[in-house]
Amino acid sequence: MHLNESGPGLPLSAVDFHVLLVLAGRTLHGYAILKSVEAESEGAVSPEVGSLYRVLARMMAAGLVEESSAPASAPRVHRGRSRRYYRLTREGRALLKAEARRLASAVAIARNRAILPEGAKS
Amino acid sequence: MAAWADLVFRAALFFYPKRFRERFGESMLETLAERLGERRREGTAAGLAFVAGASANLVATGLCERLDERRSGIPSRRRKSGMGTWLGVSLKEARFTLRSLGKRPSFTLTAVATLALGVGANAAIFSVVRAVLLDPLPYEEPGKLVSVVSRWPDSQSRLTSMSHPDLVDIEAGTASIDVLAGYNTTNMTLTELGEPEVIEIARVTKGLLETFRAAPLIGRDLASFELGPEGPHVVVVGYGFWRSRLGGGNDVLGKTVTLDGVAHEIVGVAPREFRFPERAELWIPSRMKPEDCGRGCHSLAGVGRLADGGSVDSAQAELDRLAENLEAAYPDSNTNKRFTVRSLRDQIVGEARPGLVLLLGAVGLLVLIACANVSSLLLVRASTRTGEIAIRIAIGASRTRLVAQALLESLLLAFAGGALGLAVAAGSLDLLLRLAPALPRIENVAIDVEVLLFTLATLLLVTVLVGTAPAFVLLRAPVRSGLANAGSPGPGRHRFRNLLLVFETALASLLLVGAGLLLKSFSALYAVEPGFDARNVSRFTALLPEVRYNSLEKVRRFYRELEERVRMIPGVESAGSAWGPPLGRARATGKVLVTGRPEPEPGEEHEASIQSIGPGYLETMRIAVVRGRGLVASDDFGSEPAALVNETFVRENFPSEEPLGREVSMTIDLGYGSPAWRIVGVVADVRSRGLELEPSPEIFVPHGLYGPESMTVTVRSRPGAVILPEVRDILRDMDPAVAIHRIETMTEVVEREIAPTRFHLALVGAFAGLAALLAAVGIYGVVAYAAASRTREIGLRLALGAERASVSRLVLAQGLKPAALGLTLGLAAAYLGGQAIEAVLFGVHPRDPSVFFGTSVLLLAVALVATLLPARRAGRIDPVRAIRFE
Repeated sequence: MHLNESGPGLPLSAVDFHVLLVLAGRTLHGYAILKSVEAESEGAVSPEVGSLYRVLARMMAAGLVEESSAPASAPRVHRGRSRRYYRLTREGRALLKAEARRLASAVAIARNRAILPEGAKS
Repeated sequence: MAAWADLVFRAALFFYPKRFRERFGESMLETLAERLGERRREGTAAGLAFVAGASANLVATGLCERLDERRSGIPSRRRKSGMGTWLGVSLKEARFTLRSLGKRPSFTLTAVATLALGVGANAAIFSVVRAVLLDPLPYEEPGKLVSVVSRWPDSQSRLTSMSHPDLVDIEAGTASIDVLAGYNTTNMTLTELGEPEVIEIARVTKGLLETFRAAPLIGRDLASFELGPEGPHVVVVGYGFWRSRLGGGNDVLGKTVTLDGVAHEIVGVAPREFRFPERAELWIPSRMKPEDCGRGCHSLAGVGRLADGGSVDSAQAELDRLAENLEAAYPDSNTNKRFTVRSLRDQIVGEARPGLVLLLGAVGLLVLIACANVSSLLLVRASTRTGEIAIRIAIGASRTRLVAQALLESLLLAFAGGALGLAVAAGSLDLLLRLAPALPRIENVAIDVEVLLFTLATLLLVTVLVGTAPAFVLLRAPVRSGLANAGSPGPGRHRFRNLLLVFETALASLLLVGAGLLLKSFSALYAVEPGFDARNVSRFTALLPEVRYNSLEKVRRFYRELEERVRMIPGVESAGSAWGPPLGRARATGKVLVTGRPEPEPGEEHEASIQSIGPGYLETMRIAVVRGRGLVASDDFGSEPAALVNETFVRENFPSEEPLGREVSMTIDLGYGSPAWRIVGVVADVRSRGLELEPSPEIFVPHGLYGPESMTVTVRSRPGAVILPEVRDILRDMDPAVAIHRIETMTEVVEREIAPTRFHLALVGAFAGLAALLAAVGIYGVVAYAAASRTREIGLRLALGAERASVSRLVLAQGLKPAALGLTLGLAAAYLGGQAIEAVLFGVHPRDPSVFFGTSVLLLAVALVATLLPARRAGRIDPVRAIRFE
């Protein structure tokens, strides 16, 4: 796996992780990313628009995320403005997987120490 | 997205490097727009908060992005010369300045918070002033719209309406006025669209849309052939009415709206921005012919449009001539009658102007005080840096560069304060609007582009004001002595800071005088005896459809039954109804004729307003009968017409005669004839027209003999009794087509009168409090710093035998002297500029000595408290340690 110097390393920040996570297997535009991050983190992570695009720019520079054409179901132009869509690259996916694995093992430890009940969501 | 929000975001995007902006800018705007739309659904405040927060984030992340690019060596901009170089240097300087500000967080926070308070309050007040006073009316060529009113120069009467024949003559007889329409507003009961409801209707003598050159959204305006008594029942509906009650469909033309039981055909829909007269929802043609009511009958307001080339002044000149001609031709009705033309905007917002201008002035003073404070803080910083600056100059830094840096520092502080201030303004706007009395056009208040531009201009001014003094000190910084005793300030800085102190206390005392005067007005208003007892009284107005209640007998029977049944509601102590009750909107004024006296010459008549009251009304309002008797149930249909008059009426019409038993008649008819009334009692004066206005002559006549079909029922109940649902039940039972409106408690009515003064007091008081606080901080800062920098000298004095008390006195004087000087100047300014505030005062002279005295005591006390701490500290200096220091 090749990572640019400026790209994020492990562990990922919460915003980075959630942005990668919402893009896993999907192609989304900026606003949709924002909404999905909020939804999937149950409101815990809610980046400002400026911060989100900075994260996206950094990830694109690091080759984790790339621009994509609009999915067939969505219009490319919305209210007269062009919409850009983003998706994970193979590197992005690998990094996300590594982070998810790291978190999963942390959760397993938490379970072992009876911090979390077995199989509970939170 | 609101255009202004888009503009703010676009501006904020400029903080990003160009490459970034080009790549992501459009998508970011798109995302921001979606986000804003989402927040706006939670309310205006949430939307404004989002714009403020998101733009702050854009600025911050944009700057970070720039720094990152530089660090990673990506060229963000090619530096050649001119602007580029300057920007490059400035960026470097900005980083340096930012770092140095960051190193002194308490200083930076104090300065930014001080400026944010000033700038934020300023932006909030300006947003109100702009929407209410400055914005042009939303019509074509709004400057040409005028209102015309009648006026009697030598009478106290505030009657301002026009008679129909006068209107017609003015339109025909002046070249400056192109069109002139008459209108009045009335309440009608709307049925067949849900529960019956009372709504406000304008009756017009000419289509108002055409007069305003507003194109109808659908259909057309009222046409001239529809006017007059034989005209068809047609209506133009307002945008809000069309949307909320007719569903906003395009197929409304030809449908009908039932008003007072009569179907009116819809011929047009007014455009959204058309709101005139302010609360009218529907416009119907006047059914009156000009000659119906005559020249003495002032029932219309005039609104028109100036002709091309006409001005308010030229129209006024023509009106003056015309009024004289009319006076000669119709002496009975037009003696002493003049006409006043003014721009429609003045008519709409005129009353709100003095208060708002006062607030804008007060908040401007606050900004100046904030500037003086921050400037003073910067001066301290500049003086602690004398050594560093001397070294930098000695090794070749140019003074201009140092000055530029000092200005840059104040620029950064100003803009940080401004950004925070705008957030404060956006956050406090809701509160401000809740506090505000009923101001016209207040629904348009928002933090928009114009407010942002105004704030930007304020910030540039703040930068200059704040930065000039420190920059000046830097320019004159002596290199050699600066190097010799780096750290100790020269005398120049003290003089500057003392000047700032004087300035600051002067402005603060001006604000305190203003607040004191308003406080006195407020308590004077509260102390006004209105002539009735407002506690536990509530009232509502019922409107009977004219078609079915077409005789006085039917109207009378309805209200007597309603009153009787309301009195049965548990908790109700008494009830009575009136037409034209105090502090309401209904009012009819006419001339008084005393039987047995020759008819007065034109211009010599006395006027009085007439109230029609039912049994139980005076008791319910606790209006005292001072002589004779009150009206009783037997003063009714079929009995001899009896009337009550108030004390002012007696003073005007029977100054030296016995009024009881005399007969008077009124030249005004509410629709059922106007007999001669026998005066049977005198009641105490009531401030009917407004708490701040002296009582005017009034005559009270029995509703059973003389009364319109829209009466206000007044109810006195035990505290906590809930009567409204019961009233609604009773009405539904009596006649489901009758709607009630203007449901209010008398306490609310009185509060509404006090609301403008309360609003001004709350704001000016808050500004004055802040000003006093800032002045205290300023005085403390200067004195404490001066005392600290004189530690060594004080130590020497003590060592040489000076008494500690005398040292404390020395320091005390240092703070109190400039404060006293500032106070004197401030009071002098308040004394000379008193008329600026006069218009919003009540019962207090703008040069009220107790207010001036109170301000002096308060301000000197503040100065004393601020000085005491450093003075005591100076008295406790240990001479040995002080001399050893350094």
